[in-house]
Amino acid sequence: MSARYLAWAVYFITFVSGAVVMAFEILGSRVLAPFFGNSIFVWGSLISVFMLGLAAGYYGGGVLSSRGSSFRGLSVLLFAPALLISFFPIYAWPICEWLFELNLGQRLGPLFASLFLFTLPTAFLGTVSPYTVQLLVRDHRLAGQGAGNLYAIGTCGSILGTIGTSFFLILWLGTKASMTLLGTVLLFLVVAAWGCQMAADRRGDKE
Amino acid sequence: MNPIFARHRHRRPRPGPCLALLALLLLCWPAGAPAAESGRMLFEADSLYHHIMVIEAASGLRYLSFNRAMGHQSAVMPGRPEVLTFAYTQSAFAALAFLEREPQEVLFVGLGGGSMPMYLRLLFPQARMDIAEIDPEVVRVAEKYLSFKADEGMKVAVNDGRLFMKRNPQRYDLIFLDAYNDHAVPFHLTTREFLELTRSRLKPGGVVASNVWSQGLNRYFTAQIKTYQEVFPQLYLLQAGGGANYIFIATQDARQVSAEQAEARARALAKGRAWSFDLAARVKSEYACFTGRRVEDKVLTDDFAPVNLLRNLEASAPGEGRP
Repeated sequence: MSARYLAWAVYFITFVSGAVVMAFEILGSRVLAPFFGNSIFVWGSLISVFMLGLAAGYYGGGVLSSRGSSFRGLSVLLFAPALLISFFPIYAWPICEWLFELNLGQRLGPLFASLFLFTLPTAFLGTVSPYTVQLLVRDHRLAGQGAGNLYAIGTCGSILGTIGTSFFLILWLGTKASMTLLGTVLLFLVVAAWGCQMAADRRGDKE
Repeated sequence: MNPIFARHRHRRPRPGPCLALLALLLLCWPAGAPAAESGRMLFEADSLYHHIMVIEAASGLRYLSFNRAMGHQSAVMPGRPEVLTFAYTQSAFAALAFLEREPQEVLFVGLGGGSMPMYLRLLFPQARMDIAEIDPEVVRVAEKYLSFKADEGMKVAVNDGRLFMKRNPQRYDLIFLDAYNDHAVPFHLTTREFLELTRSRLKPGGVVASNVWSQGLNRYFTAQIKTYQEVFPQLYLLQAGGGANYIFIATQDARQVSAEQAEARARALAKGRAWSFDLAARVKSEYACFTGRRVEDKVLTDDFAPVNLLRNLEASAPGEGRP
């Protein structure tokens, strides 16, 4: 596999994980509504917590990449949210029920629910873009270009995730099955990243 | 064949006629409510949820609107609660004809201009009302411009309707659900889980009346019927004034109330009370029983309720037979 194919693989993984973030956010609103309503507080909590998770992920991904990025590392970073989102239907509803019973108020209820449910998976997904810059770019003068490409492609993925989920997925599958689908897609990315690692290793051997 | 569906049996129009229809639709807008006479804008502001406008017509009637493009939510003649203008609000009171006693405790989900609570108080001064309204600005506007006034017997909770019910174990004789906009339906107020919650907040013999807006026959409408059928033993639909507002009336009774019985009950309710419209005539002309009408659609659940997408899909008319 040539370096060019590996670059395409990086773009593909970034695109899909960008799509998963926003699909997860749209579905998240469907999870919260039965417990916390559809109020402006629910949307405000949800969006700010996703931003928090992404900010943490961007920072963490950057720190990790400074110690050297690899496809193996990428597959580990993707494996965490793959598990968290795959099992989301199992733990999310009990957590919401528990927070509802605590009755923290119209603002804090959805805010804490969002914090508990969405911060961690979003943070892991946020690591992908900064972490993969190094996989794409060896020449530091091209780092800005590589980062720009990745953010653009990740954000395009997010557009697809938003539109696809709100326009189609909730009609075809409903909330829980869509969550499971997202988890499965991430597991596929884990395998893809692992495959890229093996391909990269083989190239390394030959050179 | 019930008259409600006779008019919706056409196929989806092709693009050309579709555009013409759209133009026609825009001309006829708002479909659910009589168009306001051109009037004076008394108030206009963005709230957390809406673009709220209060428009006063030359007649003195004040209209509450949540959106420039859409119909009016409410029409109120300040200080004269007996003026109940919109067909759907009149049809909603038909719920009383399915309740075998006078209402003591009543819940409204969605305040709007407050015309229905004010009218109910006029007819049944002893009834205690709770009103759940999500938008605090709507409450303020209703109090300032539409002569609505909350008090001990008419309490307003600024809260999501579902949350209000989930938090409060209080049971009601009547629950009015009027939180479904013509341009956006909050999905969590349409599902089986929500209707089960609503049913659990009814006293024995209690009645739910829900205002569902449906232009033509779309799959949200049929799925909503199916969901009510799933949760409530009896379902009646009243097409308010022949327009796009349908009043769903659901009861927990094993027995079905016939059109004649409902009409007789409406007539009895009229005695000694100052109704400003003929409830019995309304019940007679709009009554349609949907218990057991076969509907080919899915039940809406918290997991599956793509209501705003289903609204854009054409549905097949409900059949006559048993499900």
